[in-house]
Amino acid sequence: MDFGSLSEKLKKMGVSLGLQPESESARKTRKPIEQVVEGREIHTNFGGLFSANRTYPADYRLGSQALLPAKPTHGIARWARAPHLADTSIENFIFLDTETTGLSGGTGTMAFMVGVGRYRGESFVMEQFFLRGPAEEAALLAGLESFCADMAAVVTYNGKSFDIPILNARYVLQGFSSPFEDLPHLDLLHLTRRIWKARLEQCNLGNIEDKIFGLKRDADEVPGYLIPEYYTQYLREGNAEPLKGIFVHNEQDVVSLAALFALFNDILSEPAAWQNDSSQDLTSLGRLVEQLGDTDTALSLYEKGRSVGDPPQPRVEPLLAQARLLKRQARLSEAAVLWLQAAEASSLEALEELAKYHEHQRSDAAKALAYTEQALNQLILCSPEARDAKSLAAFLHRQDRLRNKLSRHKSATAGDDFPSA
Amino acid sequence: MNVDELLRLWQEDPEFIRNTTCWQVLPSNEAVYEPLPTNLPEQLADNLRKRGITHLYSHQVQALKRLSAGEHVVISTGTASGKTLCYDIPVIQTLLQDPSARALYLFPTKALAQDQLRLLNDLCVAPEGSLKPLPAIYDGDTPSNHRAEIRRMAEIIITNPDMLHQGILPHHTIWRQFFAGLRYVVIDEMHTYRGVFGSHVANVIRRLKRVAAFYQSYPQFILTSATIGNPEELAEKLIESPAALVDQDGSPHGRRHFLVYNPPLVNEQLGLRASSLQTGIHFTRKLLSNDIQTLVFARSRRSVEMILTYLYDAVPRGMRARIRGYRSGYLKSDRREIEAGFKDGSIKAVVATSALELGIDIGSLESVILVGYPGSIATTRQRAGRAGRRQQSSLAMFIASPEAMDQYLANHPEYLTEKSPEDALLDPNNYAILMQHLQCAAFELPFLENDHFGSLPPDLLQAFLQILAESGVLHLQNGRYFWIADQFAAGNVSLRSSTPNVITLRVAEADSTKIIGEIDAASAKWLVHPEAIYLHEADSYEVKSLDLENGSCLLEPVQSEYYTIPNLSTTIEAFKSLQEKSFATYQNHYGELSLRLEVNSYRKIRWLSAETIGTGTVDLPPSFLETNGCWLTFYPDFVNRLRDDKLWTADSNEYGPGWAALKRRILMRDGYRCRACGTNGDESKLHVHHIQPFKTFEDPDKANAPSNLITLCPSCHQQAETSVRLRSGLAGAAYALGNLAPLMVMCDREDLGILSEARSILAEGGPAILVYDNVPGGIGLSERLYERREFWISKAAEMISECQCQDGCPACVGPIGEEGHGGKQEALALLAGLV
Repeated sequence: MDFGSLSEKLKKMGVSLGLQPESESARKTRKPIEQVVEGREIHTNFGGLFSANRTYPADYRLGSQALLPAKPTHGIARWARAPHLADTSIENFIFLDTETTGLSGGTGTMAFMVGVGRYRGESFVMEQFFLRGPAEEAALLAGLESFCADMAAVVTYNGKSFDIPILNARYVLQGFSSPFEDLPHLDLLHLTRRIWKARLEQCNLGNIEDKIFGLKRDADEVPGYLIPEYYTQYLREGNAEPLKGIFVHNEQDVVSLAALFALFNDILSEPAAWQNDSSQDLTSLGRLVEQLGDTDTALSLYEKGRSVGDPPQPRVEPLLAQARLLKRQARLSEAAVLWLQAAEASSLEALEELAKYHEHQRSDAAKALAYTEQALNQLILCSPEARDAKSLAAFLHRQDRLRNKLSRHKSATAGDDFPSA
Repeated sequence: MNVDELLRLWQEDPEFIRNTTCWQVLPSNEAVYEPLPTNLPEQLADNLRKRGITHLYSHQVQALKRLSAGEHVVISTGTASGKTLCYDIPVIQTLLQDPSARALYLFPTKALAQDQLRLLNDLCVAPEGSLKPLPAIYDGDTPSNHRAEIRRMAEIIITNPDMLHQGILPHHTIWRQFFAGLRYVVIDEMHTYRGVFGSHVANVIRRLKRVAAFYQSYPQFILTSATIGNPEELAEKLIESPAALVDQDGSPHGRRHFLVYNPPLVNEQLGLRASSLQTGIHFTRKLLSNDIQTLVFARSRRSVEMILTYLYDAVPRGMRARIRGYRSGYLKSDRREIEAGFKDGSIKAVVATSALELGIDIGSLESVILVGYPGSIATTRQRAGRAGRRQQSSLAMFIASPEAMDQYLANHPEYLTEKSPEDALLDPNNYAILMQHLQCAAFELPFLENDHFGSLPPDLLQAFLQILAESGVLHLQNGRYFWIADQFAAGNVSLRSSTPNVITLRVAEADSTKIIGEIDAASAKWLVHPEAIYLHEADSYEVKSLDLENGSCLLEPVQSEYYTIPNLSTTIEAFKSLQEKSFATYQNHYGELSLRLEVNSYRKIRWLSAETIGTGTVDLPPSFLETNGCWLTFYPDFVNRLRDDKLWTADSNEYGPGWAALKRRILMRDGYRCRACGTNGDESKLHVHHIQPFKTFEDPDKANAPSNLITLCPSCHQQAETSVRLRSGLAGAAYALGNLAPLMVMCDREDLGILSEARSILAEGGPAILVYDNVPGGIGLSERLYERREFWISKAAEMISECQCQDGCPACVGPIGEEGHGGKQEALALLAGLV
């Protein structure tokens, strides 16, 4: 079959065929991975596999952060909805990050590198399993499973929507069952967003390392979006030199993951003791903790959030968070005190709550109306774009209702005492 | 009056009978049935009885029998004959008996899917109130937070080919439980899977079978189809396995009348007929005033709106609410309302475009009117088939429009009533389409070096895989081809276009634009060139701009009195004959072609009369098309005979006042020499010739524009006239052949390209007519025409000779103004000589 002409024919029909290979620069240097990265051959029932490994000592720090958690794991286990993890050794947590041939998922995406780490005693040991070619995948999956023996949980960064589904698919495609199926999964991206989204906006691992650990990444590493391309080029040309940067990138990801785990673990173990002078961080942690059911700790975090750093103005976020919690606990008069403070800082929510509180708890419709009108005043002074139409409508409605209430009351009890202002 | 009485009245009306070219009466039929099988699970038998089903028709029994023998089955009994139970019963039965069993239902539209889900919900009710087996729709509209649960829990998955292609197969590992238990695949409305779309779907099915096999499943296929000429062939092409045909309809019906009505000629010379739209309105009113429920099908939204407007005006106020229009894009709730209203009789008439035809359960109707030919015989029969009551008589009437196919069928109604000649064709091995799906398949599962893909020859598969490896998307290691590109293979593949190069069609909406569809980039240049009038889902739009580089086209909804036809200039750059057959007067070839297509101008044609009312220019780069085609070349002595037989006199046209002065000016401009051969002359010896014949213009000033006039000596003038007549004969013959082709190969007129050349390289400089597939790589259409050329040519000749016009019209050889004069006699002589 003359497929030179088939090729031509396809081209003439306008069929574009994916990437075009590098022409002759390919033949330059074939350099196997063994000559580029320090590692060894691992033997599995499905053949040989290349892996780079490294051990981090007990005193290793990532910028300001230690790799090892200092406190027990019950806090983070509770967050992960797997409280039984508190009873398991920290050595059974697997830290994992993959590098893949594509970012879109699906059965055609391969994990060509899996970086895994776990605590062994006081050290942290890492393996980076690497596919020298797609035919070694069964070996990689077997090697990975071997390393993860006795694992109780997997820790990742965005692994819930990316890494683990891909690994699961790879196991199925090879005819195995995946060891990660139905395993407790701590995806620290979610935790990061809960705590730091408000303050940091960007929650990618690099930004966290920079802002939280005070660490800047190695210049050697390859930026994420180029990784698939580097690998496919290596497959075609056999030159592993450019892959060095990927190993570096991947290793740093896994180590950061462990450090982040250690940080979160210690924070969640004793949230109230968190040494942090960011009101936003404290309030965010408070909200998290409140959702997990620990209202006392939440309250103390909100208190701290209000006062840390001696602010000149009342801090609305922690005030409102605390007040909401108090309201849920039916401690309305305490909440009212906080709302008053927040109202001073022009919080509409506080004004609304004060209106409700005075109308229903204190039977003081006049005062309720006063707060309502204060809110309306604020809204009207806002620029039209900044103004929330729904809010405005709600306050107007409340104003009408209270006015009606007051006029009925006046006419019904003409001459009676007015409620105290 | 009821239907019978009204029909009797019409029967006695001589005017009515004169215009009726067909009145078929199908006698009433008793049902041929058997009681429900005794081995049905109790739950299923109960649910059937609750819906009033206590017996099965003979064709349903047949289908069940063939299925339990392990065969694949294709069912092509008529509309509303209970095809659905042919698959629902065996599926539910098997899934009840085996909790790990699963079924996949494919429907071409979401509306159909929703209707089928409702029916399944009734049939799957378990005694404790839950649904067993559990059906669910899984398509683009399914909310993402429901998807995981559906994958986990649903036992019958209802989806469409696009979702299967992009949303399910490329993620098959999360469907492993479903694929491992897959026992049945139901493909409904099989006849919609033809042409480019069908070729894509055939490949999606190849991928489906491949993935199922990975999980060790080999499901049975159950297909249903409207009436086409080749149901077994199409089924086999789609599933690449033989399928048993069940087509003897055992369902009962009252007497069915099928009429073909051709509005009478009002201008014989030009071949103009009374409006089919007004005729449709007239009969609908008659039916309405007799309280007979009617479903009216029109071809465009415009027509629907016109019919509704006239009806609303003509009926008493109270009646208006009982007449409804129907089109795609309605909310579910609106559709329910109309359906329910139709069923309970509160709605008396519905006027619809195609949206209603696909399987919606509105019960059986008393009458159906089709205004204009809907594009295929299968669709015509499917729509007409909606009329049919259990006991009482029903009526279906097809009203022909002036277009060629309508008129041909009006004269040959046997194609509508007897065996359909329409073959649904597709070509899953069209290279452009196949290539895209090979990539998708490789994405799903690696290919082995000695692998296969459906019925594709293994060495061809290997060649393709090597090409893909060379281009870098696949990597070969240890005898396997792995997908290593970082793209999502199915992402760029559109099932409706032969290559991924598509142009999105957009309509302005508020501050941005809304996408309403997409078309092939190649055909975009002539379908949606700037200023073109484009019909999309029965709405007309004007093309405001076409941006080829960014792949988008801006449309504006418009109500115009005309539509446009691009003047496509086709150049044959290379060709290779693969097959040929010789006859007394001609040769017929089938082979490969390299064509260059350019649109430089277009014509505006008035809707109702099909006259040319103006032209416009187009400035777009040419397209190149590699495809297959079928061409006719004529032996020289035959051509000469045609030439000699021609008797024509010099045309004595009235060219308007001032012609003498104009003629002098042109002669002066041209230096009193013949522009063709250079002969000198004077006013008495030289002629002035209209390049584009005078007759073809509406406006004499335009006809007499100097750019349209040249000086010719008498012999060159005669030659020009001769070639004009010959060209017009060729063109007319090509027109007729082109219009008739869809009758046989079930495609849209646009899927075929037609070219006639007086001096063609296909015929070493002689005349030739070429018909080619308008799809890169071909799709099987011209191949079928090559095989059935005798039928094709004789029918085209018949169509022209039967036409009652004088010298050509849109119904036979084309409107006057195609090339020269009508060319009717010439075209007929040409084709008759081939028979």
